[in-house]
Amino acid sequence: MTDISPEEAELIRQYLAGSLSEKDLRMVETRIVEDPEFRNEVELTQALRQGLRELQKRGEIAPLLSPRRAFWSPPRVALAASLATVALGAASFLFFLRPDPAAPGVVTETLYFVQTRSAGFEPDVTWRQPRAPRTVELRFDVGLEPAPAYGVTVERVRGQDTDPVLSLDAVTTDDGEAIVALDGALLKPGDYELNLVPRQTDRDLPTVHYTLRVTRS
Amino acid sequence: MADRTEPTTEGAAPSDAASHAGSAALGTPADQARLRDGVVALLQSLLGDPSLAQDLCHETFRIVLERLARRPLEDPARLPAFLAQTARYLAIEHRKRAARRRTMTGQQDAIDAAPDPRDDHDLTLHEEASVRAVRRLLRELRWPRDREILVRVYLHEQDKETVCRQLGIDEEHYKRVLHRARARLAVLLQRRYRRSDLFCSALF
Repeated sequence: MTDISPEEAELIRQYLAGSLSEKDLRMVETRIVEDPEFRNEVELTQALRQGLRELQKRGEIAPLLSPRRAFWSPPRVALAASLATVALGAASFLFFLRPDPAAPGVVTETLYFVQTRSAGFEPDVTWRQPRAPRTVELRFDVGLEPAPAYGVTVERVRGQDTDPVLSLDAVTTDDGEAIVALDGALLKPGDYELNLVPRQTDRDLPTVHYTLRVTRS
Repeated sequence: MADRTEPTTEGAAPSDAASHAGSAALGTPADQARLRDGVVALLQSLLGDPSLAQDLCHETFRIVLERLARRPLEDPARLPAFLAQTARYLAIEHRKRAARRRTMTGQQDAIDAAPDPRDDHDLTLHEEASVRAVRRLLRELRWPRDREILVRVYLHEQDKETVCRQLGIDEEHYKRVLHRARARLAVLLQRRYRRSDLFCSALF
């Protein structure tokens, strides 16, 4: 489990499962011989598979897995907290229309932010705002070691400057993602910067930055 | 009489000069050691027996050295592929021979019932160390989804569609979520274990 790509990891998984084509099989076997890092990955994956099988035989796997909760359930508290914060934080900036996921006609849409951006010119996420009401769930992949919670600031980009728009709290879910929900109507068309400041942690974790572009439908 | 300076038959022993040339084609001693590690790892993944993998690795190198002494590879960069192909061939041959022995003696059950206790002990220690390490790492994974996706993919061998449906992940993000889980496991592995630990020897 070293620094290999997801594609290589998948190739190794298929190799160990015996489901590779002859051509790919030759390629993987050659890499095992010539590439120590790749070989190490194969050995680790093999050990993981064997360890899991043995734990399964001993009946130890099920207790390690907690039952998954239904959609909307894990972040319910987070959503409530976030929405409350939105109500307080955004009131001075914008008219706030409290979203209610259960209300008829309100649809939830997820925007997924992945921490892979560098100094690219394209926004991390582009969202075409629909005419119908939307609750927008922002999910952030904040890296290998997420903080328990984040303070999220949303700033609208205007030329070289940014104007603060929203200030929210995001809570890290059971899936290791920071999540926050808001009314889609709050995001007017334009470019935004989102900054996630780690909270409730004594570790020195960095602030994480993302960009969002909202366009009209 | 055959010309001894140009051996052409497959089993003929190469001359010292040719043997040296064959050995040189395998690169520096460090290169050779790296390739040997690779061949052992490949044989172990094919056969699941560390000591047998060592034996067949020696045989693989003997065959390849003799072949290179007779006729160097046109493309030296294909040496790892040639080693891998030879090792695979030997592993297949070994399996066939083992199957034939089982057929011929008719006493395989008795043979299996009396294995070398030292081998068994070493293997059990190795397996047990691996199981302990995997158990501990899984327990320490902080995010339940990481545990779950690793179990679904590497134990139950579920396909991407099933995993995505069960875990509520978009297929677009499947690779990333799995990669994160593996990366977190790797971070724990590096924190908890050193390569010298017997406890973790099976994982390195």
